[in-house]
Order: sequence, then structure tokens, then C-alpha cells
Amino acid sequence: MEAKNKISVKNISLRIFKAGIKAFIIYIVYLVFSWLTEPIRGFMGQYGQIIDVFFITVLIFTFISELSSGTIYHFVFSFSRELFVILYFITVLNGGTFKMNLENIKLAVNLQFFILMLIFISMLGIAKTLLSAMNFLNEKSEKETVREYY
Amino acid sequence: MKYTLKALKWAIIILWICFIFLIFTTVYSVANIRVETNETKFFTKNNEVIVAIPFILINDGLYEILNLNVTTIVVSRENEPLTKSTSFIDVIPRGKETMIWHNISLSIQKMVSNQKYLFEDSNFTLLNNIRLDFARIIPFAMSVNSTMPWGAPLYNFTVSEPTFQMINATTSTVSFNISFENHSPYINLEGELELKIFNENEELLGVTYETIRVPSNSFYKKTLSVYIETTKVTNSGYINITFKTSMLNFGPLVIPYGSEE
Repeated sequence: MEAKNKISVKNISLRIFKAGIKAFIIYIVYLVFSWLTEPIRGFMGQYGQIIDVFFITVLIFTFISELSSGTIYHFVFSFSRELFVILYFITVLNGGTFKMNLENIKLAVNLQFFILMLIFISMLGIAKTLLSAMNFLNEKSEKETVREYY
Repeated sequence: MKYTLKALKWAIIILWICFIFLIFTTVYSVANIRVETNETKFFTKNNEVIVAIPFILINDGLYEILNLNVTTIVVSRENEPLTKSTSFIDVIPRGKETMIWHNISLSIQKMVSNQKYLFEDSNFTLLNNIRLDFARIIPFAMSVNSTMPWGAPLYNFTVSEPTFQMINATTSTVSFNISFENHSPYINLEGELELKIFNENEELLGVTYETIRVPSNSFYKKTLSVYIETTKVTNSGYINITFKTSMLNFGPLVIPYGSEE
């Protein structure tokens, strides 16, 4: 019983460590992105907040998803993260058109290419998550069948 | 299943790397584009005032700029479009400097057809639209509003009441003062002023031609005298003033004088 508990604690610590590493990598990407966009941060207005919310949400989803690895919830959170990325960007960027008003200057940038690329990557992510979930359930049922057989 | 998952995993990793690389290089390239402007030049050509704005676009980014289109619409205070000027550059390669002369032309003859712009100072609005395709994948548009002052070439145009002086039984002289300020920074009035004096029966009393030279931002005041036939003089009438200058022809401007009683 004690040995089982030790394994479980070790396993959870490893998961937290892995989740922390992945979240940290996302945080580093966010920091680099913030550093690169620092000169134009003032012009970004509300879009600065949108980017912050995106990074924070992806970071949280990644952490939770990694923490729940080895369970079906891992795939649920991964699926949710990919879906969030697609819906969030389509909604907040009006389908890819980025508009700003600075006193008497109006700016409009069409970022449809980036949105499409992001959607495509997320779709691949969804496909991978679904296949992984199927694979996970398949392996789990196989193990149970083998256990029942012996 | 495992091979499919591995393939998908690597495809996603590669696509994320490409995506992040594209974002970083795009942001870096945009941050390395500089626009410098030199002194705006004003000149006239074929009866048009041309405002030439030089831009130097320094593209030190990693991507080229395509289909750069700069359009300026000059709009009057009453929101009436006066002129539209467009400059187009098809490619600005990376690591190159490109000089663009954006010329805004205003037809003087068209401007003076509206008397308001001859006699009253005004402010025009310049609606500047800039469109370009960055790195072939990012269309960008910017619009900036600015103002352009319009100085009236005949500001405060005044003709004094004429004074008649009889020389003999058949000939008299009529004298009057003409004054105005040329507020226009673009128009130099050099040419001839034609004055025709009519009596109340619309009979021509006399004609005179006066050479004028009124550079921009200067004042003109002169007393003009015209020989007329004494017998035709009536209590009232009108003076027709016509400007025939190298840059604008305008007239006749009808100035009534005297009282009809």
C-alpha cells in the first residue's frame, strides 16, 4: 500500500514537473513575443489584451491537460484548447481584420493568412487529440480484457 | 494508429515552428521599415498648383512591399471633393530605399471658377489613403486626415467709390482705388487688369488696362484713372474688372457704383 502511494506521489510530481515545463515554454514564447512587439505595444490598444488573454488561456489549458495526462481528461482539455484557439481568434479578430484608430489615423491589417494557418494547425490538433483519445480508450479496453482473461 | 499520431504530432510541431517564425520575422520586418519625408515642394505647372510630397521608404525588413498605393483626395470645407491624386509603386524590394514623389495637383482655373476661393481663405481637408501588400500575404491600409490651408489670391478685394473730374466739355476722368491681398502661397498674379466703366444705360464710358505684379503673400493697392466721355456720365453704373494673368483668368467682376436715384 505504502509502495503504491509512493509511486502515485512520484507520478503526480512528474506530471506537475512536465506540465510546469510546458507552461514555462509557453511563458517564454509570450515573453519573447512581448519583447518583440514592445515598440508597437502602444499602438495595439485592445489587441494587446487579446494577446495576453490568449497566452494565459493556452498556458492554463496546457498545464491542466498535461497534469491530467494518462486519463481521458487529458484529451478533453487538449480538445478544448484547440477549439478555444479557433473560436477566440475568429471572434476577436473579426475573421482576420485587425483595425485600430489612433487620433486621426485609421489602420487596417488583414491577418486572414495567419488566422487560416492557426485554424489549420488547431484542426490538425483536434484530429490528433481525437485519434489519441480513440487510441487511449482502445489500449485501456485491451488492458482490461487481458487482465480479465488472466 | 501510432504512426498516424506520430506523423500528426510532427506536422503540428513543424507548422507551429513555421507559424512562430513567420510572426517573428513579420514583426521584425515591420519594425525595420522606416519612412522619411523631405521638405514639401510647391510649384505650378500648366495652370495647376502642384504640392509635391517626397517620401523615402527604407525597407530594411525581410520581406518586400508590393502594390503601394497612395491616394489623396482634397475635400473642401463643404465636403465637396476637389481633386484626387494617386501614386503607385509596384515593388519595394527588401533592403532597398525607394523614393516616392506624391504629387497633389489642384487646377487653378477650377478653383477660381468658385469665386469663394478667390476672395476667402479656407482650409481643405486632405484624405490620405495608403494601401500595400506586405510579404504578399498581409494587406495593409492606413488613412490619415490632414488639413491644407488655402489662401485667397484676391483676399479683401475692395474697389472704392469712383470720383469724377471734368477736364473739358467732352472728356472727364474717373478715379478709384483698387486693393487686395494675395494670400495664396502658390499663385503669383502677374499679368493685366482690364477695367471697363459703364453708365446706367449700359453704355461703355471708358476702358483701361493696368499691368499688375502681385507675388504671393503681398498687398496691392493702386489708384486707377480712366478717361471717359463727359456727356455719357450718369449718376450710377458699374465697373467690369477682368484679370488676365499667367496663372488665372477671371472676370468680369461687376462692381456697381453711384446711386440710381
